[in-house]
Amino acid sequence: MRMSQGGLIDRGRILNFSFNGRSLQGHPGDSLASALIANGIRLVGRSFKYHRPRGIFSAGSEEPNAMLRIGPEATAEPNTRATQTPLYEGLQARSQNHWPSLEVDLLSINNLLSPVFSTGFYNKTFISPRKLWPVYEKMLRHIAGHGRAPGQRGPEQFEQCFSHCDVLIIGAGPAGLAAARRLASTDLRVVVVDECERPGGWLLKENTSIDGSNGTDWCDRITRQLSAAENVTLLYLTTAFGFYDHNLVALAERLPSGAATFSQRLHRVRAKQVVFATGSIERPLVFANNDLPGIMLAGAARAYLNQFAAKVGQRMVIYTNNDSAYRSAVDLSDAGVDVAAVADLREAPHASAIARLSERGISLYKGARIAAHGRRHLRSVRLCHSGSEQALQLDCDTLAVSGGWTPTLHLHSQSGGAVRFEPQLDTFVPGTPKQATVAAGAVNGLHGLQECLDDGERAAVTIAKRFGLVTGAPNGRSIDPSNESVENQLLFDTDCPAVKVVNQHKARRRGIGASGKYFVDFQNDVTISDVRQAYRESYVSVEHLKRYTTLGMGTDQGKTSNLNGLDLLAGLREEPVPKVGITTFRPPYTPVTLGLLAGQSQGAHLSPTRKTVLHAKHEQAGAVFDFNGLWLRPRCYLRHGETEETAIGREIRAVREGVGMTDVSTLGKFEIQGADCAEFLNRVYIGNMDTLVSGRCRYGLMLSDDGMVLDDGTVTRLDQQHYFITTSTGHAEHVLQHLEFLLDVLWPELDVNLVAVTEQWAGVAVAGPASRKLLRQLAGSDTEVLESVPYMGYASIELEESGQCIKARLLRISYSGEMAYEIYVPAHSATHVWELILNHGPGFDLQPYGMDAMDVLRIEKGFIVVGADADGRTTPMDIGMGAMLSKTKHFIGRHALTRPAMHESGRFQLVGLQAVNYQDGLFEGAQLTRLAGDRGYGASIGHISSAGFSPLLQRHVALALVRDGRKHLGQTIYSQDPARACPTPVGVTIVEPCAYDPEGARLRR
Amino acid sequence: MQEIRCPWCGPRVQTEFEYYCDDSLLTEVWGSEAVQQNLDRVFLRSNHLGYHQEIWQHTHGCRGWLRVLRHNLTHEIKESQPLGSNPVVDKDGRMQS
Repeated sequence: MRMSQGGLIDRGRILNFSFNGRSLQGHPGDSLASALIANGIRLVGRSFKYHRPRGIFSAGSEEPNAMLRIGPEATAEPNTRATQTPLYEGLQARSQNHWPSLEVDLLSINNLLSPVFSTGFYNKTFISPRKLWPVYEKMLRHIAGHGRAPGQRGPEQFEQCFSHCDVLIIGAGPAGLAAARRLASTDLRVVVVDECERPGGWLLKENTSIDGSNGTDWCDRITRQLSAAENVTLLYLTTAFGFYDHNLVALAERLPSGAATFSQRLHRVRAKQVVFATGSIERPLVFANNDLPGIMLAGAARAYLNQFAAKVGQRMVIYTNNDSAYRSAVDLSDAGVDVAAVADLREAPHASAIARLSERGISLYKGARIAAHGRRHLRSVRLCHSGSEQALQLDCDTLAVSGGWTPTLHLHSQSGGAVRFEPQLDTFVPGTPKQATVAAGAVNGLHGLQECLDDGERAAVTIAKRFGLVTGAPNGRSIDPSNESVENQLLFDTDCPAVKVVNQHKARRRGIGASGKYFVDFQNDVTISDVRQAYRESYVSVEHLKRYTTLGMGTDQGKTSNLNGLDLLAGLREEPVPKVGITTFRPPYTPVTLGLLAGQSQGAHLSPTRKTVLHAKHEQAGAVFDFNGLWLRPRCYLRHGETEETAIGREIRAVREGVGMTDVSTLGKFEIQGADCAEFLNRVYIGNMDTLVSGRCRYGLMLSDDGMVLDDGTVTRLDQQHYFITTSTGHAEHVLQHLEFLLDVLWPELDVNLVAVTEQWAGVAVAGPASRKLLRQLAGSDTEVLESVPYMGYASIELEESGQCIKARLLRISYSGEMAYEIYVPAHSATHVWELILNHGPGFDLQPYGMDAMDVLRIEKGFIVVGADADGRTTPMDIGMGAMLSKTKHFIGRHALTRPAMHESGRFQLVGLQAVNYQDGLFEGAQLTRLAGDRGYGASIGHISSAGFSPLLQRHVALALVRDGRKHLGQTIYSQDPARACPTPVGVTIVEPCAYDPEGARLRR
Repeated sequence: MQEIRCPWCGPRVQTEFEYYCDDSLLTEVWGSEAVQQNLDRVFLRSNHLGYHQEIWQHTHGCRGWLRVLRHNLTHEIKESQPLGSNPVVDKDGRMQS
């Protein structure tokens, strides 16, 4: 019910919103929760397991019950706390976890069946037969849970940024604002964040006054000062959700964009110092049926009144174990709510508190124990107290409870800071910090307003000192005390909270009705009985209790329940709370949307896309692209009416019978110059590179320190002290780092300069029997040079076309097994050269070919791809390159190859495979076994590492790594690929890797 | 995400760097026939709780190398020292002359 005046809402404007389809109205300044309360809505959801009716319980981030689906049906965000959602025009909210409706939820049958659903029930009850678990799981997930994930991508926009500051103040309540005000006068860069829509924290929710003005006006004044200060940044609706290494704090900022949706921004703030002014959260009390709608935290009841001018009920009872709830009695009674009684668990509340009640004629019951009654809503409480033997019944629609205050330790604890138990407050407070942080205000267990303001100032001075600022220093590097005097108006008195849990047996004896459930954790439906049962079953560690009962494991991470659970466990163990310990706090403080963590790195922007300089040419030629690492490369070039299969076949034939050309610009390319190049390459590659003469190329294999193949590629000696080396596409970055490490760190004495030129040089391979004839057309005056280049030779030539000359590096190397040339040109002339070659093509039926054709061509030849046919467990001997190992020099990985295990039997060796039945397909990733059959065929003895269909051989060709494969040449084994193309095993014969032109005659023509 | 001080560029976020190897890998006796010693260096490194000498590269920065003394439990970085020759580019990405 809305009050006619008061509160921080703009009554001049109306915001329309809906809840479960019902049209409602609120005002700017409302949260969704306050607007629902103002509209008299009490039932907002059904509980996790028992489907019990639940209402709004709190006014902040600790809310366990009021989790709604917000937004249009298809993209609604589930599990959104109504208490933290500012109201906006057109907001659509829906309750969750019920069937068929919120009011009539048939699944609440679970509540009656609760003896079956005790702690760990699904681990015990649904354990056999094991096969049926997927069925059980589906069923259980239907009946227990929270909201559903949206079916479609929402309209939200997410972005991410890095920020840096000297001081990050988390929380803009009294302590945070006091600290910020002091630091604003220095030249330190200060960022203040608060999860609410406006700063003030509890000052907005309490009826207080500072310096003669009320708390809200004071907040506004300080905020204006801070906004005016150039060195201060204020962020609202921003939750500091995680504290990470080296003072990195993650902030989720919700930005109003338009009216209908919020976009979010993730800040990663590296702060030199952090102030935790995170406040505290009120604890509930545990008694029978303490989860009925109408029961809420006492602080929340007055927060809705003071900040939102919304009355939570007509007739209320207050149940407390400390003085803070007396403020709720006073505020609500003054606002015209019929406060029937205050029931205090303690025998002797403060005299001043008692006086404030009697002024208003509110009854006080000391030593009180209560139980709540009602079906879908609180109807009454039954109460017994030390003044009478007789239990009495009080009709009411609202019960405000307070079990004391728990400091919001989350971020302090995440930062590695120690926690200390404060017996006076019966809770943990921050201990010695681990990183550069200070805690200030209520998080330190302080609850007086003056104390909190003073503590904020103290924190500011501590921080200032850490930056070397002193009071009264000149030139603005000073921090001076504010002159403002603060009236000592208490937020509330604190007292040692006594019992928080009503004893079940005693309650029954006293006749207040104890048959209901005593909830410890509302969000996950964990009751006292569950905790007791866990204890009986030996889950006596606090971490075990959490996992077994799920206490504190909901999206609220037990903000209201952890300490009560802990108290209960300590009682069962008959040990003090600090001995029992506390569960670990982990990020995030409140749930974070996955989209926010992904930011802009979604879809095509998940990773960068690399395109070669010839990309446009490939597009023109009808290329079908695919990713090769980050590179986008043509798989094949489609002609009109062709399928990919026929295109690939055509391209392969062109290379084998005529001539083809392909873009090899993605290969890693390096230039090496200096007097010690030969020595350097000798150390890096397994073969002898010092014998390589100018004008010749050599295939090289490099190993890691452990003797395994790291990469392969070619080395070309351009000149006496000038080399050009290529690496495989996928390993270019890794090889660069490897070589840089060797040159910069290990062998700085070598006179070698290394430059990566992958992007600077483009490469085109021209392959096929007619390749030389084609290039002759382009070589112009260098025709003779071209003719004289031998297999594995190099020459610098000039390509000529209508008077234009392009200097190119011509390497006669082949990855296809045909006579072939790789032509490297500076990247800016690449398209011109591509066109030049293409223009001379028609006479030779030249065809561009893509990755797929290239793959089949090299598989036919038994040429490997490092990463597929050699993985991190493969030695040169395993791939049949043992003969390349130099016996006359040392190289990286040589010692590791001398280990006996590298030469023993049982190693996976590279072989070729040929299907026994020619029609059978062979596919990459298939496992190989000795026996056929769909069961009991034994362990895998290897896998197919590369495969493709060879149109010339009219069968699939494959390379495989097979255990002792070379020893078993000619034998038949089986390819098992049940998950993909071949449901039945395929018999394959182990053959030599090279299936085409094994003598290599075609290469050398 | 840790903060690492690059000896050439100043404090930078961890994602700009790549861990490369343990400091002990720098001690290879090159070309020697001290096979066992070199194999132990590769395969038998200490994985103790406490400070480790680590080799990092400022990969997405100046590409310089650094030796970082880091605690593997607390992630405290005690020091970061330049390693090897100067990086080829400065902090603004310009080539060093």
